[in-house]
Amino acid sequence: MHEVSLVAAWVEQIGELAQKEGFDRVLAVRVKVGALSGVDPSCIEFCFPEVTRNSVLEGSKLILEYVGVELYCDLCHKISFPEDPSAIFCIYCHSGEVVIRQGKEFKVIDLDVL
Amino acid sequence: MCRDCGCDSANQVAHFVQLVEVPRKLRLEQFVLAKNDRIARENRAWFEKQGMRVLNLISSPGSGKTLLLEKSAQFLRGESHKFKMAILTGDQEKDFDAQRLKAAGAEVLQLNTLSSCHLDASMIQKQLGIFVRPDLPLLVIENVGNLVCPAAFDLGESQKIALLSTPEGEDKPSKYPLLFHEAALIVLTKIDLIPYLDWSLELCEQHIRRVNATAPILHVSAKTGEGMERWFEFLKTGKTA
Repeated sequence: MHEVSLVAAWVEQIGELAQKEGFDRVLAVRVKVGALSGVDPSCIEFCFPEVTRNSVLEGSKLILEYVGVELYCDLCHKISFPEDPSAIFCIYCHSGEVVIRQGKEFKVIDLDVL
Repeated sequence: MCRDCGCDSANQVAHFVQLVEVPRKLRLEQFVLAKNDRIARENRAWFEKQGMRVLNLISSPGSGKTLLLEKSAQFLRGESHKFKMAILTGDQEKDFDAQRLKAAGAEVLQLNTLSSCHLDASMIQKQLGIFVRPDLPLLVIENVGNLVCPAAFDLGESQKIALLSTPEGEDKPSKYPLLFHEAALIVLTKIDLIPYLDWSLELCEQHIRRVNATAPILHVSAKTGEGMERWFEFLKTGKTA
């Protein structure tokens, strides 16, 4: 259900952009989905055709790119990429004083428009 | 620049291409949640200007948010004006929680999200200056019971607080890492049930520390009152010591 409202939010924002930028149709939309975003890519794919109906996004190709977690350690200043997204600590010094640099995002990267 | 399409007019090929409508690429790098985040920033600025403290309580359904708040309302009733609390309580349907909290003496407003599984910043913004007021300087938002979506939707709160009840098992923080990572305080509830459960405090705290190294962890039973004095202290001062 969460994914439906997120896709509905794109439809609204991209609809506003269509008026501003002067395009009528979106051919493809490229989206990044982070491992910690709480968004399930398969749910997005499932609801996309329905939610985009009667909008500039109708019939567009959805390209989902999965983004893993990137952590910056405040103690040892190293960057790590844990394979397990539920391990939010530095893989080098095991400190939990880390900043999530990547992996929370759920964003539209670009659009191919007509 | 060409007046028709904005292309370099010296580049006739590109101009021709534009006229026959070849797709163009628009780079956005836009967060889907950008609109919510903008409203949340406005809410946060408003709260700060009014000198308010705002706590966003997030947990699974049935983890004991409402009972914790009933006890909190009863406790704070006898306290001074600067601890006056208002509660915004979110559920998809019904106002059972608001009725319970009202009976406990709380200033409460029920928000029904209907199809949505979380509160968003605009629902809070609509109440600024109406239900949400500086004469009730402590605002507690009881989010819709859900460990996923409420973590992604900033409301403009000062702090997120995650509740985890003992019957849910020890491993929820590893399964839902973002919420437990972002929480400024983690409250383990229903600790009176520990003797009846196959549940280990040590294991639960290990799961929490995998995703959050620093947040204080409280152990409470709103039913028996055990550990509640530390929660009340946090409500009043923001500190747990």
